[in-house]
This record gives sequence, C-alpha cells and structure tokens, in this order.
Amino acid sequence: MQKILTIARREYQAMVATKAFIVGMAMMPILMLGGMIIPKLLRGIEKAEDRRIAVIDRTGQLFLPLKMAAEQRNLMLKADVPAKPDEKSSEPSSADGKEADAKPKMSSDDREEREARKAMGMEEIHRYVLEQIPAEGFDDEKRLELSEQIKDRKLYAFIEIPAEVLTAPAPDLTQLDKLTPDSLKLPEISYVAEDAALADAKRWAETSLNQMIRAQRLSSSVSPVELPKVMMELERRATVRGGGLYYRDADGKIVSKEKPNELAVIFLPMGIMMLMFMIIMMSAQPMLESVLEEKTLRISEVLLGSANAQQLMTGKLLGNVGGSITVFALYAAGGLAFANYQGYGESIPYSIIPWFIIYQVLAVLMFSSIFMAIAACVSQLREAQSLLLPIWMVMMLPLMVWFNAVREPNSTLATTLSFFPPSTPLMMTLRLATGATIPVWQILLSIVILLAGTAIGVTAAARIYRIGILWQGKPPKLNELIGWLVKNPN
Amino acid sequence: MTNHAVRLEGVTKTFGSHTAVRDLDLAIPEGSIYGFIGPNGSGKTTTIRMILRIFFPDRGRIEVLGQAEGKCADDRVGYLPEERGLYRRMKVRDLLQYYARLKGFRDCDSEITWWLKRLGAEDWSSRKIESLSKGMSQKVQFVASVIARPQLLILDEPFSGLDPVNLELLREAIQEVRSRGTTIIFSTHEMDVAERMCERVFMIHNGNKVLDGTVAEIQRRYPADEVRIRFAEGEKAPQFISGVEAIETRGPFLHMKLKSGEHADDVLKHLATTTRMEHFELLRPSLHNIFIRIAGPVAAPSESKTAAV
Repeated sequence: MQKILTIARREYQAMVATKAFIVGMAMMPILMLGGMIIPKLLRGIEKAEDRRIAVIDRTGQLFLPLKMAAEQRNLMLKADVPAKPDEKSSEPSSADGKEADAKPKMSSDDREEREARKAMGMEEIHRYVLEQIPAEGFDDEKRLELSEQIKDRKLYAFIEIPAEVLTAPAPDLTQLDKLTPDSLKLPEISYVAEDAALADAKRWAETSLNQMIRAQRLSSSVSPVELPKVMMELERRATVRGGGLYYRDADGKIVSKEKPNELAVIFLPMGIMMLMFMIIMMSAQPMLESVLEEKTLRISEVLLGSANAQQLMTGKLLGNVGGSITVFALYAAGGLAFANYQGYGESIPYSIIPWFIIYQVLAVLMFSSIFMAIAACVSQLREAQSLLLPIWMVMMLPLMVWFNAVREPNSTLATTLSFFPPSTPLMMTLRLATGATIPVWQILLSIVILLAGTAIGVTAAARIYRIGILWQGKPPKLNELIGWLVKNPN
Repeated sequence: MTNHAVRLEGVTKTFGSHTAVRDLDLAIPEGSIYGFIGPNGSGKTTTIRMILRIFFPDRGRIEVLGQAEGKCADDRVGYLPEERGLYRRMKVRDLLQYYARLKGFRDCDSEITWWLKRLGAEDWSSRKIESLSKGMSQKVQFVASVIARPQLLILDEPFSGLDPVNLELLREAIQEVRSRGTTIIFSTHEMDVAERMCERVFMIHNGNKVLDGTVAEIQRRYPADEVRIRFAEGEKAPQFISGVEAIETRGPFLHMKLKSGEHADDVLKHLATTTRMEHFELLRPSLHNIFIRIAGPVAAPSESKTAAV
C-alpha cells in the first residue's frame, strides 16, 4: 500500500505540479473571459458602416416604404445599447436599469433572439442605405455590373423585386382542390450579395418586404380605414412562454419552477459536459505520455524492480484520479464564480455535483487505464494516435448529439447513450445538467453499468499494460493482444 | 556451508515458442561479485528479470535473499538497468528520493547527499535529469540503484558510456558497496570488464548455461593454447614449428596458437635450441576466447568497445 501511495504521489505531482499545468489553469479563466469579452471588443473595434443596397423595384410601390423602414432601423441602431444578458439578473445595477428603460421596446421573442445572436457574436451593427435603380432595361449586363461593384466593395447587395409580388392574383379559395403549395406562394424576390445565404440584411429585407407586400395586397380588398387595424391584427402575436413543472413547495403551496433562462438551459449543460470532457482529456493524455516515457526510457524496468505491475498501475491511476479531482475543483470553483458573475448563478444545478464527481472518477479510471494500455503497446506517440482514434470517436459520441439531448434529455437516443459505458459519463452529466427529471433508476443503472465497464476496462488494460511495458519493438498484432488479454500474465 | 544470495534450480522460461532460459541452475554466494556474460538475446536479461520477479519462471524455483515466494521484487534488491531508466523532467534529488521510497527507505536524505558527494555530483541535486550528460545520468542511475542500501545489487552494463575517469570512480564505488557485504550481479557483454571485476562468472548462450565458476577455475579448465614470443634482434622467426597451428605478428611480438593437445614446453624446447629469444610467455585464454570456443565466432560479442578496467 505504501508503494502504491508513493507512486500515486509522484504521478499526482507530475500531473499537477508542472509549469504547463499551472499556466494552463491560469489561462483558463482568461480564455473563458476572453471568449465573452473578445467578441464585444471586436464589435467595438468594428465600426458601424453604411451598407449600400441597390433596389430594383418593378412594382414601383415598395421602394419608398422599404427605404423608410431602413432609415428607421438605422435610427434604432443608434439608440440601442447593449442589453443585460438576463433580465432577471439577481444583481440589478441602477445604471443598467435606466438604460434598459430607455431602449426601444422589444417583444420577449425578439429580445431572446437578439440575446442568442449576441451570445454568438452575430449581431448586425451596420446601417443599410437603400438606393433605387431604374427597373427599366435592368438586364444581365446590369446584374454583372452591380456584381462587380459588390466585389469592389462599392455596393453591399442588390435586391430585385418582381412586379408580380403585388399583381399575382390571389388563390381561388372556391376551388380548394386546385390549390397547390406553389400556387399559394408569391413570386421570389432576388437578393444578391457575397454572403447571400447568411446575411442579416437578407433576413431584414425579407421580413420588411413581406409586411409591405401584405399591406399593399390587402389594400385592394380592405377599405383604407380598416387597413391599419387589419395590419395591426396581423402583426399581433401571442408569445408561447416555456415554464417549469408545478410542484408543492415546503409551505404546501403549488408553485411552478421559475421560467429558466433559455440560454442557460442550452449552454450550461453543454458547458458542464465540456468540463467533464476536458477533465477526462487532461487526465488521460498525461497518462499516455507518462507510460510512454517510462517505457521508452526503460523506467518501467526500474519501477518493476520495486513494485509489481498491479501496484504500479494502481498507484498511477490513483494519482491520476487525484489530479483530475484537483482539476475539477479548480475549474468548478472558477466556473461557478464566472457563472455567478455572468448572472447564471441561479441556473446552476448544484445537486449534480456529487453525481458529476462519481461519473468523473469512473470515467477517468476507464479512459486513463485504456490510454495506459495503449501507451504500453507502442513505442512512439505517433503509433498511439491511430489506436486512440476509435477511442476518441466513441468517447465523443455525446458531443455530437448534445443539442438533441439538451432539448430532449429523456429521448431514446439520450437514454441509450447513457447506458453505453464509454459515453455514460458525458451523456448522464449532460442530461442531469438540463434539470429535467431523470428517473433515479436510470442514474443508478448507469452507474452500475459504468462501474462494470470501468472494471472490465481496467482489468483488460492491466493485462495489456503489464506485458506491454516490457515489450520492445513493433507494436503487438491484434491476435497477440488478445493473447495477452486471455493469457495468464506469468 | 556457503550462504547464497540467489539460487536458481531448474528454471525454464518460454515466450510463445521461444525458450529464453532452459533448465538453469545457478547459485550466487553472498558477498560475491558475479558476472553474467553473454551476447544480447542470450537469456541474460530474462534471468535478471526473473531474479527481480518481473517475470516468473514456467518451471523451477528461484530463491532471492532467502525468499522463494513473492509477487514483487524484494526491497533489498537494487537494480541498474542497461540504459537510462530516469524520468527526464524530475530533479536529481526528487528522483532519488522517489526510488528510495519505492524501496521503503524513507529517511534517505543524508544517504543521497553522501552518495552524490562520493561521486562528485553534489552540485546536481536540484538539476533536472534532462540537463545532465550521459555520464552524469549514468552516475545518478547508479546512486538510484544503491540508495536503498540493497543486499543484492544487479548492475546491467554499468560502465557503458563512461569516460576512463568516471569509470574508475564508479568501479571504486562498486567495490565499496561490495565491501559493505552487498552481493553484486554484474551483467555485461564485455568480457574484459567481467574478467577484471568479477570473482565468478556465469555464461549463458541460447538460454543454456555454458560456463559457471571462478575466472581462474574456468581458465584452468580451458588450458593455455597460445604463446607470446619476442626474438632477439637480428633473429628470424622459423617458418614452421611442429605443434603450432597459426603464427601472427602483433607489434614486436609473435603470437603462436598451439594445436589441440600440444604443450608449450615442446615449442619452448624447439625454439631455445634454434633461436635466441628475449621473451617467452604462456597466455591464458581470455573469457572472450573461451566464449568464442564455446559459442562459435558468430555468437561472440564484439570486443572492440572493451574498456580498460
């Protein structure tokens, strides 16, 4: 036991008490803060510019209202101030409160969308300046000419509105059987720009033009007096508000959980899962390097002259798990402080911390031992990479489906992956972090399966490890490896 | 009755279809320096690993320092592997402490200081291994193997890569460890080193023991078959001498290899009557030559790197 602890202590020190680790730890909050601050700074650096958009309006009626809408939007951009990420923030500052009151009223949906776009650094800050191009004689030559101007950055985009958007006859509702999806559509408006697919300007033009087209088309059948009322009715929307389940609180009152912050609901579980992923990586990777160093420098021979392979592996794993818990403690403390600072404090599911630690310890044991076995089989890092690839792929499964799992934590996919040992830790952490009710039997079963998986993984890895570390030359072939697994190691 | 530090009885070890060690008997007396000789792949390392209990024999019995059982190397056994064996990023003192603690020797600071000083390495204590030269790390490695005051010390090629000054320093250190009563197994493929360092040698070839005994005993068993002669000035060497198989000039000397069964006395008598000589010497066969006789020239290890001890 004394030997195991001596080995564990060295392993822990080799993992944690290194410059790289300390620098990495110090860099982490800087990177996290940077991730939040840099887009804002960049936005500050990126100056709002006038974007010239040419409009070829074959209806002759839509350009002016569109131009007015663009000017109104430009005015709103100037008046707008960055909103707080969470309107229910527990730390309202008076200055922010005033600013929030002063900014134009937005619907709850608009605000959430803006928040989401802002979080992803996608908020458009530029002004649109519209110019009319005569529709007469506008042909492919002109289109080419405007495209050249776009290439030369003299123009941002051009929009061609066909006359039929207003003149196309309304579908005949008396002959419903003749209606097709296409006959319900209006003719297409073309928007040409370099980044046409994702541009904010295109989305803005589409929304604004459709409002105008609707108004124009209605004006022929609705009296001018009624039109504003009809338009207003068309624009009114009832928001669908997501709420938590109802439950009986300590006083016996039936209450609903507060409506969760939507960004927190999506990004916190992912953040927590990524934390688990990073901890597993930060633990397993050093194991790979450590075993490889011991093998190539023949240190393992000296170590085996003092302790047997089982003691050696146990000690190394113990030190590794200790290191991973240190990483968790540091990241968790930093993450909690950061989340509180950002106003997500209330959304953090503290109750999952014990589960997180259980899953993390088992995951580190499983992956670190597999990494050790792989390192024991090879003599160069390069050879290890190809063996690691399938392990990575399996381990990263939850990362590929995280979005679906966050939206539906109890879906068949999420549940199935929870019972597949290599993906259990990440998937269960993700599901638990969503705050959804995960049946207790699933949590327990997943831990039992993970325990079994870890036991099998560690046992197999130990068998490969104790032969592999003394193996020199070419990596063993698959049949040799299987031989190591089944054979009595003596 | 002599006590034995290591005793192997009928030990066989196979790896798949390859038999690394076959039916090996070996008894290493306490307090001796015992040479393990043989080329790479002869079974030396497997034997050492079995003594260290890194491997376990398929058949036979191994007793180390009175212990026949055990799943792990005895804490009383020190081991210096053939090359490296040191964590590059650890500091010298931390590394030595770690190796000592692994052997259960916790209060090792003064011992470390004493050994580093003894080998002229006291200034390296807080240097990282990666910053040391090959000779320096070789010394650190030696200290690592003796730091826990072992009763049995296994040294695998301890002199490789050392300059003559450091080599002498290490040779003295080994003798010093031995004078404390430590039994030393000295594995090498350099026969001269073995001849000068070891009282007893053990030769292994293709997994079989081919020689085991004191250097003198072995040499007695393989009688002298070569004479070295220097003729007086102006004298010419005879073209043919009966009983001589081959004649070779080496510097001022003439080496004559005797035919099997011939005696040097007859050659001396013949030469004394026909020429004038200044030097006539009967040469005992070196371990190297004995090894070549047993294993054939192909199996013989290179002599070119042999260091002066």
